[in-house]
Amino acid sequence: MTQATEATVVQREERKLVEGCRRGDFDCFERLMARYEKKIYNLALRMLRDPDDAHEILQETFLKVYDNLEKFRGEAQMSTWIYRIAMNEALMRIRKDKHRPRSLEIVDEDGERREIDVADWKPRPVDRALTKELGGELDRAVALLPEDYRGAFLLRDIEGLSNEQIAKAMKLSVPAVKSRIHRARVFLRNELATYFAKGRRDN
Amino acid sequence: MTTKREKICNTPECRRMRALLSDFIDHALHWRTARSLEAHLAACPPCRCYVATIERTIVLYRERPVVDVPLAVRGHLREVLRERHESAPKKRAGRCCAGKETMRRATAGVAKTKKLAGKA
Repeated sequence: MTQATEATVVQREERKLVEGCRRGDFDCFERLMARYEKKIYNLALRMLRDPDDAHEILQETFLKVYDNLEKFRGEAQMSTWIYRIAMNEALMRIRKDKHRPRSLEIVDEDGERREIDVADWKPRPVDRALTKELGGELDRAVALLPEDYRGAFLLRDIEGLSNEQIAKAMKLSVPAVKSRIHRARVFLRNELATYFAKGRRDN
Repeated sequence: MTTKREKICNTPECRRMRALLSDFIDHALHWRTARSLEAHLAACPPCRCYVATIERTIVLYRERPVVDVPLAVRGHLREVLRERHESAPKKRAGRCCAGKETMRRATAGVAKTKKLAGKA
C-alpha cells in the first residue's frame, strides 16, 4: 500500500470513529484514543521531561478532543488536530512554570563546532552504560532548546509531521517552522559533537 | 587539552550548502539544486562530514525508545473520559461540553493518581 493510500484509509477509519463518537459511542472514542495516546504521552514526556506533567498533558489533550469533537470538521487531519491541542497544552505549561530552567538562546550555528568524524558518533554497542549516558545527553540537549524549537523538532524528526502540518499544529508560518527545525538540528548536532569529542578525548 | 576547532569551510558554495541543509536532508529541494549540492559534497569533505553528523543527530533521536503509557495512567485516562461521557450523554448528541465541574473532577483525579503513584 502506498503512503498516500494508507493515509486515505486512516482518514476514512478516523472519520468513522468520529461519527461514532458523535452518536455517543464511547468505544469509538476509546479506539481513537488508543491510536494517539502513546504518541501524545511520549511527545509530552520529551517536551516536559516529567511523567506527571506528561500524564496531565495526555489527559487534558483527550478531554479537549472529547469536548471539541463536534467542532472538528475534518479539514485538517485528525493527527494534526490532536498534536495541535497537545502541543498547545505543553507550551502553555512550560511558559506558565516560572521555576522551570530557562532554555538557551540558540547561538550562531558555527559557534561551537568541534572537529570530529561521524564515525565517532556512536556508543560502543557492548557498553550499555554508555548507551544510557548517550540517551541522557540526547535528553539534556533537547531540553536546552527553546520550547517552540523543541516542539518543531520533535514533531518533524520524531513524529514525522510535514512542515505544513507543524505550521498548523503550532500556529506558525511554514518558513518559521523550517527555520526553527533547521536551527534546532544544528544546535543539537553541535551539542552532540561536543559530547562525542569529549568522549574521544577521555579514551 | 582542548579540542581543535572544526575546520569550517567558508566558500560561497559551503555557505549555500549550510543554508539549504535542512531542505537538502528532507529532500525538499528542486532536483537541479539538490544535484549541485551533491556535487559540492563530493568535493568538500568538511561539508560532507557536517551533513553526515546532522543526519546522524536525527537518527540518534529517532532511535530513542518510545515509552509505553503506564497502565495506571491509561486506566485513569479512560476512567476520566468515561466519567465525562456518562455525565453528559445528552449533550454529546448536540453540542458536547461537559463543563467546569467535570474538568475540576478530572484535575482532582490526576492529583489522586499522583498520590497513589507516590505511595507505590
